[in-house]
Amino acid sequence: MKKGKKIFTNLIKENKDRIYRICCYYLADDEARKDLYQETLLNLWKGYKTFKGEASFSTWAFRITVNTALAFISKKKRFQKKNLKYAEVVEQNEDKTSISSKEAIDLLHQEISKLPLLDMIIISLVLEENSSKEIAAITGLTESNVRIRIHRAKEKLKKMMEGGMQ
Amino acid sequence: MIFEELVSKTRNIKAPELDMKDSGKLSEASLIDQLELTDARTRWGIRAIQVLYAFFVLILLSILILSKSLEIQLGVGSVSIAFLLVILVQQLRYQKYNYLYSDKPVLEFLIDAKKRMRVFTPRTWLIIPVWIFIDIGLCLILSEIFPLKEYIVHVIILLQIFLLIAIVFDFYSAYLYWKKEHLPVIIETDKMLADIRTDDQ
Repeated sequence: MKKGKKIFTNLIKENKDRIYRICCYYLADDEARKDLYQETLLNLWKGYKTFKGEASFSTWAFRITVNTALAFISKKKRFQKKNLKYAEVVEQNEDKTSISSKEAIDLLHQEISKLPLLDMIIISLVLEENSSKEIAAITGLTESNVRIRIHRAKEKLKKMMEGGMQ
Repeated sequence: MIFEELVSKTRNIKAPELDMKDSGKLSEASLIDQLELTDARTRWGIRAIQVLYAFFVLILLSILILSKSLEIQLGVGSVSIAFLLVILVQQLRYQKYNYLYSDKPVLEFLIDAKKRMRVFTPRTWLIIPVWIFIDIGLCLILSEIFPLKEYIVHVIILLQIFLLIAIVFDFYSAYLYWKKEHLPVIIETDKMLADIRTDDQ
């Protein structure tokens, strides 16, 4: 088990930022995001013993992350749109004349939360560089369906962002 | 700032250090230890209840073997069955804890989540026989140890109404719990599925 623990620790090290970023799309509050992140890690640890490696670790982990997030937000009501704040952004050399990165990322999160649920799930996975095949494995949709949805959701989000940034 | 540029900036977001009581920030390795500990505590908690009741059953079985009175044997047997059911209830709890629901595809997970949130689960239904077996067992043992007058026996039988009320109350509290904790989740899940189905069309 020690060896398994070491492998698991390394897998978490490799994927923790991506897992946390997915959590961020579902919740606005920093504390709630941390709670969700922690709950996701516990579920990953619980499931790791039965993880058979049929899919890659990241696909399996993202599936658990999305499902844990859905269970979490259905308990805590939907996305809390008020008081959006983001503290963990590492950003320097801001262009003072334009909208700051922090504000822009907040806006991105806010606009993603306005998308229909499935688009929101898909976009959160696209932004973490998952392929259509991986997203299909995570959501249970067909690959062709996922490709169409990615295209539609991206266009929708781009338009929303352009509107929000002007 | 163009969209693609912004998207690439979101990748600067890093997972936070998790705080734990008394131990400050956690490294990944110690976080796993903490997760393992939380997990182990829940498992051992359930197993401890099972071991305790198994111990009670063993004691009752010894009494059953040693006793020469049929009524005592029936009473002790009845309580033993109730305790075995408690062990079974805990086993169901253990299996539920052990099973990871969230590693299914999202659509499957949402449909499953609704099914799991029934008002009365097998665990709720098992409470009834537990109560009844304990009650029957205690009545048989008491009537054998303390030979009671007939009217007292009738009073005890009448007191069984309280047992029925307690069972009804138990079910009602399970319903209230479901209404408070699960019904909003079911409504929310329905909304999510409707959202997905609308998109699907």
